[in-house]
Amino acid sequence: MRNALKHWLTHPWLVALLRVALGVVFIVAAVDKIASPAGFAQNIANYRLLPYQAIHALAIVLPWLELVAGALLALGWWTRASVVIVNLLLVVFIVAISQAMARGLDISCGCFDTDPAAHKMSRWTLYWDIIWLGWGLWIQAFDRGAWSIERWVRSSRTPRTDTEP
Amino acid sequence: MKSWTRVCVEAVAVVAASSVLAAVANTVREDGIPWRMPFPPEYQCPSLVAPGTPISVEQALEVFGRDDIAWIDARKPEAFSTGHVPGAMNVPYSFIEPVPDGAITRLRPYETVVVYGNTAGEERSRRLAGELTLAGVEGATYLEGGLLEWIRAGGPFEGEPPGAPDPLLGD
Repeated sequence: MRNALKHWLTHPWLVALLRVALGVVFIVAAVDKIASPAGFAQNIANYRLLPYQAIHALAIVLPWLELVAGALLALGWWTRASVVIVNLLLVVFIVAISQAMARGLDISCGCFDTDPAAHKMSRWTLYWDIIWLGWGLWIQAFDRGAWSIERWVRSSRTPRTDTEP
Repeated sequence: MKSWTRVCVEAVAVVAASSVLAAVANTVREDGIPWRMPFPPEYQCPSLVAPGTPISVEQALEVFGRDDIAWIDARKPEAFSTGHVPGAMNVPYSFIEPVPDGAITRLRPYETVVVYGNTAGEERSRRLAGELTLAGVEGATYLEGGLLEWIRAGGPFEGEPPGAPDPLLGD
């Protein structure tokens, strides 16, 4: 029973599905931030975590990092590197959200929407990031490259062994 | 190349490529933002900081000395220890840290709370007054003109008066 459960939970297709889904989550999260860098900078400032000198630089770079890492993860190219980046970003988000909640900051998360008045942060904001981190660690541990461009390219490069004239 | 070394190299490449993409996009787009946020920070914290209510130096001079008035020095502790309005309490404004709960509880009963910085353009007194108002300190105001204007108008002061305003920090 336990083995069967492990077999299904680590099945290459399921892990590949999780990988594509997490990649898409990061792509979707990046879109609004890229569209509105000033709004996203305000979201970061609201966390009251960083010195003001660093806020704009982060607002400019972070959404593109999310987009590129998310796209690579979804496509399955440099999967291990992109899942490591995604997991590290999730750890940073969890720390930022936790400290904001601990300090009683009544702010918007800025996770998917840069409007400061929208989607006030709640415990579920934190829970979702923890779920995604678990999801990312699962991919990191069990992804074997199913449905990935990396595997497709590698297999297309492998020389054929038949000897047809 | 060892597996983890390769992962690290790829991760660094992803970060570098994303940074370059971000820099190019920010440069070419019309609504790009400067890499360094100007001071005072242009972004307020809308859920916690509102513009405070002003009080003029003349009005503040009239109410000075009353028991139901609290004076709050929003400057750094070093500036406060050099000199301050007699009876003032030091609550240094921080862009990062919210105002301590203890200070808010202590200030709520006062009819008027006058928050001051050094100069008229001082952001921290205005922001601190706004933050106190939102935290339930109904009488919170900020001193228009700041300490320099207060001293010029003959307002009481203990210790060394502040020097010329810092052109960068506005205090």
